[in-house]
Amino acid sequence: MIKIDFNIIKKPLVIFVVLILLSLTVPYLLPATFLGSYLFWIILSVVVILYGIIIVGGLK
Amino acid sequence: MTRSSIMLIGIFLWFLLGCVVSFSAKRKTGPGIAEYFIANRTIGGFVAAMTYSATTYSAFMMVGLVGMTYSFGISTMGFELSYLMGTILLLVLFAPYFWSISRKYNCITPSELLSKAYNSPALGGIATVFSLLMLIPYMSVQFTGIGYLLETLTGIPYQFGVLLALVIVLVFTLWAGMRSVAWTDTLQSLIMLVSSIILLYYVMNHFFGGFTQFFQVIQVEHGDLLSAEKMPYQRFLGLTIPWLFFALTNPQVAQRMFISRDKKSLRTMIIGFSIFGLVYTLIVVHLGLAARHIFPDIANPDRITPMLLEKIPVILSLAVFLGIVAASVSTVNSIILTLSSMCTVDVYGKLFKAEESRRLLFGKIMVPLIAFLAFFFSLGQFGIIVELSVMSSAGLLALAPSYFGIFWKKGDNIASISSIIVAGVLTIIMYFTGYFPLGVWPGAWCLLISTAIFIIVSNLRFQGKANTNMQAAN
Repeated sequence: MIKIDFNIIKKPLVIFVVLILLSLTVPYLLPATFLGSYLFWIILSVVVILYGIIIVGGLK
Repeated sequence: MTRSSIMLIGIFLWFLLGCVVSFSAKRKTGPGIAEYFIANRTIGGFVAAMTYSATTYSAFMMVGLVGMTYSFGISTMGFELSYLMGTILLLVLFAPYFWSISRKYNCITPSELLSKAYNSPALGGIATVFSLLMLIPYMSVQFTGIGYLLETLTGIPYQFGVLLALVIVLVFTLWAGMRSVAWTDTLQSLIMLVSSIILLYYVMNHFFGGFTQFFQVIQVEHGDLLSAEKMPYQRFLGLTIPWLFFALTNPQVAQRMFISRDKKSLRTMIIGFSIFGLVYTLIVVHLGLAARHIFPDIANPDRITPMLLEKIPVILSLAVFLGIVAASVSTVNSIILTLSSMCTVDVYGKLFKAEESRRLLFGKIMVPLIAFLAFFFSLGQFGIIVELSVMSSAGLLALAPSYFGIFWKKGDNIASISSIIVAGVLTIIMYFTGYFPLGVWPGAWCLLISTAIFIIVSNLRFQGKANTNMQAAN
């Protein structure tokens, strides 16, 4: 059996899940303009990519 | 020269270029199963990023997603970007560990990783058979897509177009396995990206007079497209949630976590894919929004892209058409190679303990066999193929808890096998009977049922083992 310690990924997993939950909920509350859900989804994606880069940047 | 003959010459030249790339890969390919199926884990960061992107994004993007955006506006962008975020999450958190495990335990396929993680060869075999059942209809849809597009744009008969796709896929795959697939995928992804960027630039300037005017026109005349609620919330969730797990549940992309040369290449793969995914999604979504202004009243949104191709200069039309064909081919050849590696390693290798050269021969025989299965499937009724393809994306979700279970000390092999079989069979039954309990999409049920079974059975067996150990100690 191969097991990986869950605690290693716990913190980034929580942050990622929160970001994805924002993506699944908040845009439905925003106005129908380019400055509403459209911009929110794009900014959130960029934030997720940047956070991902920070995490994988720390790979040894 | 007619439009269709320019298209056919373009396809021939593209195929020729792909053959040159594939032949160069062949010259670099050494012996052995690991070399054939995962290029001996020597793929560099850029090529890994490109093959990951080309395998993930199929013709659905330029045909299906453009049409979906036409109908549902930016909620489609929300679906696709949420899916991208989910994939980044899984890659960032799982890929480094799966990459290390695959090296340490010499795993070639994702199902082999599962069987070694749970110490159960049967699990690898079941995951393989299940993936085969689910992915053959999905491949057939790619073949049918190429067939219909070729028929529409060049006039060649549908069956001949599908046969042409089969030949292209076999040449790119069979010759040199993963190295050939990865290198040709790099060519395909560059064609996909460059052609779509040029198309977007042309559409914005030719039909709107620039990007600023485009934003104004959409805001004023098609403001409804900017509302997330254009797609009902339940439908949005039903569509998005299952796709969040794509990077784990679809073996052809999961296997790409094993191919990187080193951790630096793996990092480049993840970052490269993230950027590719964001840029490509935004291009496709903006084309869909633009199409709403160019063709205001189209009943069948899947016709949007072929119609757009007829309205643009023939050379650009050819480039975009090649981009769509490239997307299909790169997805299909990756699936075929991964499935044949799973059949070889997790079924034939486990059942017959044959020497490596025989296993490799078996794998090379499986490549055309699987390709022919998908080909014959694609000659069937289109409606049924699409239904089965939708079912496959839902059914593969049954594998998700088993991958997450590697991070859980109670995760158990019997729990994994039972969750895959029960949830998979129930999903198939839901699709065939058309009965969706509570109106919830079967993919969500599949994920829910497989997770519940995995947790309950793992806990029960963990408790059982603890009791047995206690009795033995007493």
